[in-house]
Formats: sequence, C-alpha cells, structure tokens
Amino acid sequence: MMVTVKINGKEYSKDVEPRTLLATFIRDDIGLTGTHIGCDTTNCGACTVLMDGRAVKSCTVLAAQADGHELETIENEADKELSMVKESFIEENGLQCGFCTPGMIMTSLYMLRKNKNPSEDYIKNSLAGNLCRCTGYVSIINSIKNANEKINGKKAVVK
Amino acid sequence: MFPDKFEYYAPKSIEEAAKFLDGHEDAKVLAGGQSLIPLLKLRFTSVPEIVDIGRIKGLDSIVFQGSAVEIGPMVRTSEIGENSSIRKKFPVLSEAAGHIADPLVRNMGTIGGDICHGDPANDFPAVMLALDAEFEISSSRGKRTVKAEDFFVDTFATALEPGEILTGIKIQDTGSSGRYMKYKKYAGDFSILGIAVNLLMDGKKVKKAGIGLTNCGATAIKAKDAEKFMNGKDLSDENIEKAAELIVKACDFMDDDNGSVKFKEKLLKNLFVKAVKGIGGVPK
Repeated sequence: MMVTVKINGKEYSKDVEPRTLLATFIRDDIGLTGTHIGCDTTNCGACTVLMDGRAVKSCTVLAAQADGHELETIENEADKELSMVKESFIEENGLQCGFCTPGMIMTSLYMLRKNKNPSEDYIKNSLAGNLCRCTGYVSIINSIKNANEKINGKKAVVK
Repeated sequence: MFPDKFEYYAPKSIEEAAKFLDGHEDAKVLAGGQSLIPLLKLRFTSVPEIVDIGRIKGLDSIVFQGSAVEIGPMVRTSEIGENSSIRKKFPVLSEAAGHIADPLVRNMGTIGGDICHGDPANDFPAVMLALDAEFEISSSRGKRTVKAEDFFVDTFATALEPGEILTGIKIQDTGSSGRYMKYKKYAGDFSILGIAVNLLMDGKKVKKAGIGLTNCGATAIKAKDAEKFMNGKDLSDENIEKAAELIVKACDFMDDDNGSVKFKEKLLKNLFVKAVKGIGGVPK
C-alpha cells in the first residue's frame, strides 16, 4: 500500500506492506536513521517522533496509521527549538552512550512546547515513557531545564 | 519485530466499517493500537484484516449535551486527561487517564480501545463502571446501547459481537465526584490493582456510590454490594470499613507475581479508604 507522509517538511511516498511499523518505515524505507529502535516493545521511547506535534512511540504505530500525517524527527535542522534542545543536552551532558537521546530530545521538545512554565515534577512525569540506562536522569532533567530557559526564557520551577 | 501479514482497511464512515466487518468475521478493529500492535508484534495474536477506524470523522469528539457527555471512542487518552470540562465534571476519569501507561502511549492510545480490549488491568473499564457509563454499539444491523456493567464479560472478552464497533460513550453528569487510585510497580506499568470511586453526596450522606475495580479478577468488576451498602449512609470510619469488606468480597484475587491474595486485599482496602477520604497520591 502507498504511504505518504511529510517528514521534517519534506513529503515522502513509499509502497510498503501494511504491517510496516512507522519506526522501520522512517529508518529503512526513508533512510532517516536518527530515530532509534531500542526495546521494540513500547517501553523505552528511543523511537519517539512527533506526529502532528504529539510525541508518540513510532515502533508502536503502523506506517499506515501515519499516512497523510506530518512527522518531525531528530534530523529536523530547520526547527530552531529542536536545535536548542540538542545544544542543551550537549551543554549539560544529558547523554552518555546516546542511544536513547533522539527519543529523549523529541519528548523534551514536545513537553516544552506544551508547557511554557514547567515544574520539575512536570518534567519528570513527562519523561515517564523514555528510558535511559546510563545517566540516572539527573543530567537529562538538567538538560531539559536548560532547554526551557533557551526556548521559553524562564527557569523551571523547582517542585 | 514485525506483526504477521494482514490486510489493512481504513474506512471513512461507520457504515463502511460495519459493512466490511460483516464479510470479515476475524477482522480486528484498530483504534490507537497501543494494545493491539504490541500483541501483533510479539505474535501473541495475528489477524487476517485490520479495520482502522482512525479515519472516520466524528469519532474523536467530546460533546457536552444537557446533563451528559458523549465521548467518541477515538478520543486519545491524553485528551481525556487534559480536557478541563472532564476534569471538572468527572475527575475520576481525568485521574485515571493520567495513570495509564506513559505520556507517549497516551498520545496514541484511545478510550475506546482501552475499553474494548477487555484487559482486566486496563484502567478505563473500572471508571466506566463507577460512572455507570453507557456504550453505543454500531453494526450493519443498526445501533444498540449496552450498559458498562453488562459490557465486561471476561478476560479479553466483552459484549461486542462479531461485526460490532463501539461508537460512543455516554456518561451522565449528576454532580458527583470521585477519585481513581492505582498501585503499580514502576512508572508506566499496568496496575497491580486499581479502584475508581465516584460518590454523589446529599449533605453528609451518600446518595449514589459507584465503585469499579481494576485487575481484581478476570475482568473489570463493579462492586455492587458495596455500592448498595454505601447508598444512604454517611462516611463514618465504620461505614467505610464495612464497604471495604464488601469490595474485597467482590474480588477474585489470585497469588501471583504482583503479590499474595492477602497483600492485595489489604492494598485494595487502603486504596479505597484513600479514595473516599480524597487523600491524594498513591504509595510510590
């Protein structure tokens, strides 16, 4: 079946099997390998992308479900806010091995767009669907606070 | 991991979907896919055809009409949790939404899918039972209404017959208020158990109690005896304790990885007391 999606502003059309998952569609059919597949069981969130602005786990979405929708992935260099989140992760050492990072960054972008005045609790709760097995999350949370200052121009409220 | 092969069909109307389901008895309806897709990927199940109802217009709206709200089955769990009118009128529903899986799953997962999946550990069924929701079910044979208490039959089994689709959820706003309490092992996990308590008060006395239980048996359970007992009574410690006893009696617990029967009984009683007293926060 034909699946047509807009990814990072560019339209792609591919003929795929109905059982193709969005994560493999993005990686194997389109060739954008920045989106990672971690657990492949809807737990880790490494495959997080934005679909019509909402963060979803692309390993648990059919490419067919995304047909006609707009996606944003870690590769979107035109998105200034996304670049700010990336910089923040570098500045605050929000990664070690980097495998979970594409998902972490997409979820961070989503949560900061949704809430312009985030509390630390909000940041933690919003990260519930993303696992990192290296950092222990403190540096990730610091990265998101840093990103919030860059994007929303405010410090995150502690508690 | 890939699901087994299937045909994909995305109808544009309920009529189209119903017509397709008529000729394809083993076809499975796909809503958000946050339960179905993992099952397909793990090959716990496979289906010949998938009917994606995500492209049918009008199934994703929340409409307040008179004293009732009608919620479409394709409304995402995150929207249920964030809708300010639902938060005001049906706090038990909002609170449960916030406990389901994680924010990313909630952005895809739908209320209709959560209900129709029939998993005893899903959280919305208990809330539906506590709020005495009614389900509008459509097929090529027309429409029928099923009460939530008649809907949940067994594990992964509901009152939906072959060819039928849940097309609407109706809840009456009676001015009641409630809490949903859930105990889980870690963030994003299924319930060890959960309880939805919804009370309509008349002064200090309970006018109408609604109690639904998550993961306390083969399917979601409505604690009818406890509800009946609470109606007309005040919320004294003694009455709450008696109601808690009746709730535990309605359960069909088993010793398993989540704990012993004794542990679960004690946990459920504690969650019930916390829900009734409105004390926030489940133990972490």
